[in-house]
Amino acid sequence: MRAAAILSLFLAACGLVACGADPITAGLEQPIRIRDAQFRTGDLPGLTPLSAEQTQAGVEPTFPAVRSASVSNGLLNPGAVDVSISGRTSTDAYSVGVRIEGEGSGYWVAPVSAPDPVNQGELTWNLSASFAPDLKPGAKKLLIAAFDAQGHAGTQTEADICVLPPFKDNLNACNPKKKPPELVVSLTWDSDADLDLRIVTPTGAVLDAKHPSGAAGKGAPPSGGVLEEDSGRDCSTAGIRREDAVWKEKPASGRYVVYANLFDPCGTRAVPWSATIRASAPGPLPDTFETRQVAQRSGTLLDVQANGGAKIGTFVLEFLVP
Amino acid sequence: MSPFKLSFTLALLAICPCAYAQAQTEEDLELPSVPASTPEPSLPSSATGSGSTAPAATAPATATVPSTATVPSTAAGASTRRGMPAGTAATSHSAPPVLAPSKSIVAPATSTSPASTNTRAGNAGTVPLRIDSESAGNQPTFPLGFHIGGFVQAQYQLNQLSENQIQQGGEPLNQDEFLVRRGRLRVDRGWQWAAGTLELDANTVHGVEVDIRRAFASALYRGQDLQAPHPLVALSVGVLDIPFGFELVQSPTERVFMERSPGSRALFPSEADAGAKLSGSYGFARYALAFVNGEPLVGARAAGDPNRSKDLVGRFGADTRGFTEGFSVSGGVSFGTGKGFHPGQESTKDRIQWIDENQDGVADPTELFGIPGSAAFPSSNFKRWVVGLDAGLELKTPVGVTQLYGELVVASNYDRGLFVADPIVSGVDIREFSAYGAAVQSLGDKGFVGVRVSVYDPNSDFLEERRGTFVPKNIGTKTFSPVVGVLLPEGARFSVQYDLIRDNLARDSRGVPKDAKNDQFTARLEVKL
Repeated sequence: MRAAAILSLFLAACGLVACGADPITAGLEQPIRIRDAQFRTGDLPGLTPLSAEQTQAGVEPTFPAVRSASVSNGLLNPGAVDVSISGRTSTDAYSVGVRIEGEGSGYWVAPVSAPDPVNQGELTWNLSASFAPDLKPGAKKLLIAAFDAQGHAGTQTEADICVLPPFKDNLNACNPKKKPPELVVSLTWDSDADLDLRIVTPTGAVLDAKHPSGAAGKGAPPSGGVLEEDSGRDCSTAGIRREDAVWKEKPASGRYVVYANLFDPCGTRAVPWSATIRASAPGPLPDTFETRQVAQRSGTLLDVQANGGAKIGTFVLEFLVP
Repeated sequence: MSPFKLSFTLALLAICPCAYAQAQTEEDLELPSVPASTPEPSLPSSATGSGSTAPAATAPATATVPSTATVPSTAAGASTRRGMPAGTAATSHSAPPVLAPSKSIVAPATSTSPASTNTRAGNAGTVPLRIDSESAGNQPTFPLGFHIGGFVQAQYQLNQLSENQIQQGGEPLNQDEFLVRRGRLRVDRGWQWAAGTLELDANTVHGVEVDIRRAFASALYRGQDLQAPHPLVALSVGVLDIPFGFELVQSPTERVFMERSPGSRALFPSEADAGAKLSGSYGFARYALAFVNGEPLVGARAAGDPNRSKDLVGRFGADTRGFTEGFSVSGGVSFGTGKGFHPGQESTKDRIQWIDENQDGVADPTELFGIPGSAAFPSSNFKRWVVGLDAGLELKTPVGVTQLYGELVVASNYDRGLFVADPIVSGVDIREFSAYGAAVQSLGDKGFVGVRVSVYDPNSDFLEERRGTFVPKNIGTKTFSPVVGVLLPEGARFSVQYDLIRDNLARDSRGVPKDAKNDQFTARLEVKL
């Protein structure tokens, strides 16, 4: 009884004194990750960014203010790494906070750096960001706020970014007025195995890693589709784990048969996979387009099914193009 | 005073850095401190003499020994004085029995019996706490005869750093798990002039690992008293304990805290290293001097010694245990010096690198870079040293045994486990500082409470840039570790510990370093084999 009381008191005391610290996390569940920065849960503090009208009307942001913000490349592939986000703050800033508007559960904080003598001693900042591979494609806004010595944030600033889909979509994800490919067949899997997407076209030609244009032979016409990558080749651990066959224009009419072939399991016993077919469709607004998923299949390949390319592979689905 | 009030008093006392050293406690396993067939002395549960009296000891047939050995029932005089003539020890201490110097004492037939190889089993209930002097400081470092034993420490731990993710390299970020922290199996064989030890450790800390914890051969000179816990001179060669300070050589079964202090673990990632050691004792004086590879053996990561230089590590100290009644003081000075290794780089071939600067997934000509091959970079060595001071006090009180102890360590380029020091990269020597103070109180034969406060600064000169100015940044950690334990029958022990860690690994909204949430809770069950 006495021992139980001591133990209870011990645990209660430990729980009490454990409060007050901040969590440190790699942020792998967040859509954006900033190297050497602190993740903090919650909305980004500070006032919402000034609108274009407010800026034109001469409305001044509250201090500390983010004077400029730029992204090294606004077009981001899924899983983009080492993307530079930089800018300047007013001289009263101590740190900047960054998040993607409406995404994730918090924001990242990093201290500002040296003054910029060219810009009246405004303080510079430079962040190295990575983006989650499963970040939903589309146009997004980076919200950036500066914090002063008391930890108070001023007016936020925003920077536009475009997160691209894993296949070439003619920038439709960020600009719906641009027409996406007519048809995209994708095969994804979840391990570092060498899986190959194979599509038998109506002419009997095979579109695969050895025939990325689907030409039946030397001098034969291409199928119109293009296999964009050969992932997992030689068991490389590039982490892409997907292959996409893209038809920019309407494919030739006829029956298409899709196979998933396990070329090399690369040491894994089972490779779960998923295949999807997306097609271009009219968007919700006039003169806009979007990509819609029209079919999806999934399954698992076992290591004993590996054949080094000797077989066509496992049947996934077939579809008919009118 | 009730245990409740006492534990609170001790917790307050522990905030002051107290010191304690337990010289020459070189055994992780509690080897029998008496001949194999002799029951282990029991510590009295109170100073009023309520302790038990051990049953009569059965001496080996060929040994010259009193027919019975009475274990003292009071705290006084329970130890054997090392370096004293046998007759003197025999008159002032009735246990363990002192054998006349004779070769015939080696490996009696009874020493291989199960009872003799596990002295804890069966009488554990009479041993209130394993931090007492009988079971710790006077453990024989080279016991006569054949002994086999071991222990298992299995635990469940919770850590605030845990995430359901894996980090780069595949290591899980989750640390909330059950694991076997230590599973040890040890064999000793001791003769008058020689001894050998082999100890293996199995654990699941980084997956299932089995490695050598100890494996050494020793040549001894035991002096007149063959039963003295420590020889006058011992030369050991093999994988052995690094003789530095108190905590590093303290047995995990003797230590009430789950692990060594953070500073000790950073400077000495493992207690073991390969080398040669000269050690021994005379009276209350202790000494140990070792030439070691300087590459502590850490599980499967041990990769031999990359440089020709050997580290010199040693400790000179004293321990009044057995010379004073009701209390003892101990302490020592330790040092280590040697050369660390900065690995070079193998030669490389020309190669092409693609950096997708515009993120379009296409290798544009301006995004292709030729990286010329390079000749091999040579490796280089750097000097490193460490100096430590350890001290401690042990008191026998009405409720049990009180221990106050601590260590103070300064070092240069010696961190090999946490912020691994490499002055070749940094361009300047890296200064480390480590200190801790601990207080432990046994609660009769029921259990114990303890608290340890430790500080470790892996780089006293660390700077970081903020707002264009380089400012000193304290990257040190302070750890407050209260522990509560219950002694169970058959030598088992259940204990829980909370490590409250204060550091500067997180940042507040201003970007200023602040404490990170990385406390740890551990519940451990230990059983001797």
